[in-house]
Amino acid sequence: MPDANPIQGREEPVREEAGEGASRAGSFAALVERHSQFIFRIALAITRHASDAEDVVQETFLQVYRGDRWKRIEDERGYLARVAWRLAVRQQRPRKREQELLVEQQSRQANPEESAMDRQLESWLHERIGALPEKLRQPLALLAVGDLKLVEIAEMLGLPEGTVRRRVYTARQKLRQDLLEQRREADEG
Amino acid sequence: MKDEDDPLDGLIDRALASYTPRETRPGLEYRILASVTAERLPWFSGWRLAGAVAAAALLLALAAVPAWLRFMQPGAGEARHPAVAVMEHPAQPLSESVAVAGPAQRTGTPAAASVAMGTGGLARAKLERRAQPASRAATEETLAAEPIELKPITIAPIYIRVLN
Repeated sequence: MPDANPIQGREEPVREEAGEGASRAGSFAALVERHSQFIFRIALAITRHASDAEDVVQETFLQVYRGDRWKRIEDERGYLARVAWRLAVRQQRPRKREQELLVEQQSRQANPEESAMDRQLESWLHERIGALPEKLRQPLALLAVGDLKLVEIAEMLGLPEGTVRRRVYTARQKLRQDLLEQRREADEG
Repeated sequence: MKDEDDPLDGLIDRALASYTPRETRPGLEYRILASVTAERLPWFSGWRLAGAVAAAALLLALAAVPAWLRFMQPGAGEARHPAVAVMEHPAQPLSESVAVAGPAQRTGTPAAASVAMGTGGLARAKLERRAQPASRAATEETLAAEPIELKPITIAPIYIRVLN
């Protein structure tokens, strides 16, 4: 049976090093464990594609590992989020319906109790979020990750906090307007 | 108006919450660490090995070029090999001396090889030719004056007896 392990015969790729290297690799592994899922959600919020997001996460940690930068980081979360956001924006492909569907499918699996109607509305809203201009979508999507404060998002995007707050508000207003229009159309129809 | 907007806000919040799924991606940490390990592989792996081999080959080629050019220069071979090597076999009944021209033969000089076969007179002539008259000592003079006689050696005939 083929081994699914990418490095055959290695249980823990980095942690098994001996001596000084072991503690170094060990603490890097701890950093990965602490933040990888959070960074993945940030990457996914921007790329909207799971495999692209994972590529971004890997590249983020590789960049941080190179040159021992990770040892000097004061705000690990903020620093990693900034690197991941920059890479994700670069990785971002032209949004396609199939990408949106891929993420929607994942979110549906997470909430199986939802009614079909709710799911339909949610999918429609995801589509509307995806259709927002990037400067509105990115702060809204990053806020949707849940673990980031407005200040952190502002720092990540290199914008003043007030600008980010305004963009999030504008994005929500636009979505609300779309929802109202959709309801009106449904009532008329 | 505000009462109308609240359910819409709720819908948007829910849609945003599921916009970026919160479930973990299994094995993500492992894959990250594996890619970091791959980054830290020793220098002699993968393309680095190929690069090192190519660099070594290039260095060897560069080192070989001057030596090859020196070898190809005209006369270089002559300097390394003596022009004439004389082999004599005086013990044989028919004295034979072979002069073989080494590099001269390669360059196409006609005086390539000469084979002298003959009696004592020929051998003496050869000895006289090789001697240096200006540096002859008294003993050498005496020896040169004496005639050298080469007695022919007879070899008994070889019989081959066929068994059965």
